[in-house]
Amino acid sequence: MALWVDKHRPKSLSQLDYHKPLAQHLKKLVNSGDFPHLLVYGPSGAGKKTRIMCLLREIYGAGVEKLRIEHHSFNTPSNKKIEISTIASNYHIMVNPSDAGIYDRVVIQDLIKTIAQTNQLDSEKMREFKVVVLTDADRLTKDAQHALRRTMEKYMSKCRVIMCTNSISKMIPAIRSRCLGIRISAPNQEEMTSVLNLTCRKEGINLPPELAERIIAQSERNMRRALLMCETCKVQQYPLSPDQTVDDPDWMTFVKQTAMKIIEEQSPKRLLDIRSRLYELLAHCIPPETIFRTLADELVKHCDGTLQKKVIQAAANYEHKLQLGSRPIYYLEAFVARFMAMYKGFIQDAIMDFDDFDFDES
Amino acid sequence: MDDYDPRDFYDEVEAQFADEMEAMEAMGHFQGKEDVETPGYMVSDEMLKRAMEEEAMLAKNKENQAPNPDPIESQLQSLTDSLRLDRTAPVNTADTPDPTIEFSFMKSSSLSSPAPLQIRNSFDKKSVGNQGAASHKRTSSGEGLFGEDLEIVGEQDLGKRSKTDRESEKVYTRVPDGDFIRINTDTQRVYLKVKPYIEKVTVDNTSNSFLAQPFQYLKSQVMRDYREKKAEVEAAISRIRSHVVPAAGSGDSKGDPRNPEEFQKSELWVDDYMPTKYVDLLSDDGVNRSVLHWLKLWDGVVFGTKMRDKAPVEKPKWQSQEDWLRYQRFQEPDYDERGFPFKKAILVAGPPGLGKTTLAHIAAKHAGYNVVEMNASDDRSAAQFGEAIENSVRMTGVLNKDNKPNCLIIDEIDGAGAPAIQVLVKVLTAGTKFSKISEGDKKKKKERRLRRPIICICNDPWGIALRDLRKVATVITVPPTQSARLATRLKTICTVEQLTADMASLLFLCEKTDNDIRSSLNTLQFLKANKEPLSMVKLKGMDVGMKDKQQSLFKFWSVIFTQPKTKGNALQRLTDTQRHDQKRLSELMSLVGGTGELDKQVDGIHENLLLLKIREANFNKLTESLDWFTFYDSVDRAIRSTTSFELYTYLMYVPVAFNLQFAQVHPPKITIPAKQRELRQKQQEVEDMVDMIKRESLVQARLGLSCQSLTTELSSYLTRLICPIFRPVNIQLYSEKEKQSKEDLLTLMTCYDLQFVQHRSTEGLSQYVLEPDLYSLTRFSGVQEVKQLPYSVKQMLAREVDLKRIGAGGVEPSKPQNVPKEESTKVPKIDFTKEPTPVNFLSKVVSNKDAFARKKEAYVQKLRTFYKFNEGFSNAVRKPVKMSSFF
Repeated sequence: MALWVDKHRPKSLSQLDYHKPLAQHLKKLVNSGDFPHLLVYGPSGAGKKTRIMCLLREIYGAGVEKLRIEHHSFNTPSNKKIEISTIASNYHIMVNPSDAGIYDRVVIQDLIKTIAQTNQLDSEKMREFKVVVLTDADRLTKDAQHALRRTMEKYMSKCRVIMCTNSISKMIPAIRSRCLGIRISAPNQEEMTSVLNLTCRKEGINLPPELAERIIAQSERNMRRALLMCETCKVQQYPLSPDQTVDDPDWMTFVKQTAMKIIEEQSPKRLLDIRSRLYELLAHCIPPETIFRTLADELVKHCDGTLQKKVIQAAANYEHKLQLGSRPIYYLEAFVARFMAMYKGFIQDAIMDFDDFDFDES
Repeated sequence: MDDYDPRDFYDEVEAQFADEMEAMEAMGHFQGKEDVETPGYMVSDEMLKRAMEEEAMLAKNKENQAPNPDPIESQLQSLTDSLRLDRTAPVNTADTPDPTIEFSFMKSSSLSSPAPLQIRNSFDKKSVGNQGAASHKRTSSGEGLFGEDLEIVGEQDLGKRSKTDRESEKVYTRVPDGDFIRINTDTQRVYLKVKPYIEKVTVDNTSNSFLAQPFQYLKSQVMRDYREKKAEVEAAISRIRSHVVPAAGSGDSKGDPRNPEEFQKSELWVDDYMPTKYVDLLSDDGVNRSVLHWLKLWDGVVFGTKMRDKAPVEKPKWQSQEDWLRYQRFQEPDYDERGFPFKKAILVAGPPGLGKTTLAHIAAKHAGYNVVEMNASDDRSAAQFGEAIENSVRMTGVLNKDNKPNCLIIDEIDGAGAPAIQVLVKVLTAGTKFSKISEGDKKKKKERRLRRPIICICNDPWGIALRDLRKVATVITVPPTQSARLATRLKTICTVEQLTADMASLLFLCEKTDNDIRSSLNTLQFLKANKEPLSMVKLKGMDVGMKDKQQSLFKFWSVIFTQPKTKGNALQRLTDTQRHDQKRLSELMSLVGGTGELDKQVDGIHENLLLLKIREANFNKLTESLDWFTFYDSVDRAIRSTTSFELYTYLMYVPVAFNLQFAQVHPPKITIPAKQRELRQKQQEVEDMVDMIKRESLVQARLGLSCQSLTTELSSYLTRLICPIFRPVNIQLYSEKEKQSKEDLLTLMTCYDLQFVQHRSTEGLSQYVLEPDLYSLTRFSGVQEVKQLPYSVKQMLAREVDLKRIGAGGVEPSKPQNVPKEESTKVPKIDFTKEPTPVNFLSKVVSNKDAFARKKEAYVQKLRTFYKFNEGFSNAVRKPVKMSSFF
């Protein structure tokens, strides 16, 4: 076990550190013998997959931890061969259909059918059904989601689907209504502090509370990021000191720099510069939604109340449009331009007011 | 003489001229004159006058030289006014063409005009020596070729006359019945019979009547005939003037004026007014000449004529590139050692409607070939193609009555498949040094060279299929026809067709059709059907003549970013603003539709927009325009995902919006949009890397491994985590803590299958590079790069990781694993999923096995030796080691 994140991941529902009532609910659900399809959603780094694994362990016992990697290949209607690797135990299979890109429908259809068509070998000891875990379900195409909705009903007796997604807004209502939604919210500050402290204790490290606080602040309530930051701090300088620097992810530093550049100057030339920076971010496969959010957060820091509202509205507006489109650069750029216009207007108004004020006095 | 067609002669002369550019131009000038026929007459008149003078001189000379001057001359001279000789004699009089018929030919050839006179004169010479000789002189001064022929004929006839009986029917040795003339020579006295004059006057226009007429009378008669004829065939002549001769029946029914209504129904003007002669071609003169020149190169092979050497060209004084190119062209030899042209095919390329096909046909006919055409309508698979070439080029058709050699014209060759063109290339290169046939094949059968010219016609010479052909063929690109030239021709046709049209509107039509001959003619014919005069207004309002033309993307972008030029003064502009804007909008819309590839258009606009000089205080215009992109993208996505293509109409407005917002006075510099493609490429690279990491990393690590988490979190921290602080000392000297951190690091690296791999940089320095290269995921311009381990530590780690992978390093995870491990594909053979016993191989195995088994086990384990070659060496550490010391 390498990273702390993986090493100290809770194994069972009872071991979970936070959201304990939810864990209790899940436990009850499992103990009742059957459970519906699940739609687990929440921000990244909140512990969705951890909870899914715990749940599976609760259902099938330690056997689910005997994981193996399977490679499946599918033929698309256009006779193109696509390969997908899945993580599977004897009882469940975890697959990310979006690996197949636009052919995810084929994956859904084939995979779930094959799973549903095979019975459990030892059905007396085990449950009658197997579980399919679909990660990144929000990236499923509409076609795939429509393919899924019927399959979910048809093979209900043989398999259950657990979907793991950041946001349910991209799931079609038909799917949402077929699933029991489970929201995993990001841990709050105390929860995170306790987890960090527990982990450090397990590792035999002394974590200064000030550092923990800063790590939590910088991690934006993302548990995985917090743990990675903590581990990085430990590697970089061992006896941890309270005033140690905590590195942001590099792309975040880059976005912050970009935001500064936007604030510095508002001109078409600068916009061109910003564009190339946005391209660079996108080229690193940073999700555009994340860029949007980070950028808006950074920009808002430099605005006052009325402008903040407008900026956030604009960001939300463009991010929504982004979901409808396919070329994120257009939306990011349009947002930046919009912000530049607003900011420039704001500054000019401020100067004018100031001038007026001067004029009145003299 | 009998079967000599003056038209052939004409063609030949013309072809000769065609070889020499200056002469040709002079000729073109001459032919291009309004009146073709008149100069012909004028010339012969002058010649006649000159001949009369010469005649007198010659007569004197003869008198002086000849020992006994012929008394016939003076006698006959006196009789010419009143008498006509019987010309029913068999001596070539029957073949003499009727002068009027001959004159009708003169439309096509002014140079042939002396022909009838010559023949008449040849008779004169025999009977009326003085005049005959003079006339003969005249003709020979006019045309050398004819003159020589005539002389021979005349002499033979004289010889025959004195001997044969046949001639004595007309020339009597005894006194004939009726009126006669007595002629005394040295040895003989003969009588010529005189026929009454009146009889002959009635057949005034027939062949043999004008010998006895005075020249002035003949001349006036001829002129009168000519004028009558001219009046008669005025419509036809007007066509001839413009060098357009109706294609159908060009050989015989020249004279009849066609009823325009009639053939309008039956035929297209395009076919109707297709040029039939070389000089009528509308295409560029230079191109015409080049094609004909190339065809003439074949004369040596095809007709066996002697090839003319090139006129030596003076080396130009580097004045222009054109001079130099011409010089170059003249310098390089056209023929190979056996007299074959080097380039055995010609590729005529150019956009449609320039008259390429017509040019090829006419040039081939002109050079004396029988045209065999092959076009896209024929079967053009490779096999069929080869066969067709074989048939048309190597054989002569049985039905080919002219017995002319074939010239193959392959039209629309860009439509033929690549294999077919390969066949053609093979034919072209057969037997030459370009031939790709191997030595063995050559011995078996000697390939026959191509012996006939092949003309290929295509629209785009740069097609991939034509690549090989371009190398072995002369490529000639036909430039667009000049508007003025085309308009002039159109004007003539309009006159003939009685369609009123002014030059300005014709020029406008030419412009509208992009100087496409076919298209403009078709448009004219269509307009003619309306029976209204052609006018500018009407043309403007019409969609006819508009071609669906493809604009290049570059042109499109520059148009989008450029303001249209407005005509008229400011006041006018103000008043027409609305109309102007509407026009601009519709023009832009048609431009957008005409260019196609909307996504590329928008991409280009997106990339070039911010490069423009935008002067704007507040960002409103720019913000608004950037919203257009988001609109475009959203709609585009909607179209694609729901296949609702009706929305496409709205997308067309996107480029228009940019033109209205950002058009500049001067066209800006346009760059090719590449960013989107670059982005996709880079994203693909990153995705591939993520994929690889996912595939190779151990299964426990897989759980939290998605593309997003890897790019946004893991990569940043992993690169920092694999860089702990190590003292730069030997690994043996590490403290416990350091060893522990080293162990942790190694576990981490194997977990994600990271490895330091030695690479040699371009400067020759070897360095260790992380593979897969996580650093590339975290590298942003302007952000401080993550610190990396020093070289020596990387080297040590690389070794340790290797050892760990092999599994013989003995670096087992110290704590017992409560979760069994699943192996990634790279780690060989050791099954972690089983009980941990076999893994810790030495100590645990010893405890429960006997000595022999232990030995055996140890041996088996020992045998698993791995060698690794490290690049580079140093003699300093080299020492001989026994094999056993490795075990």
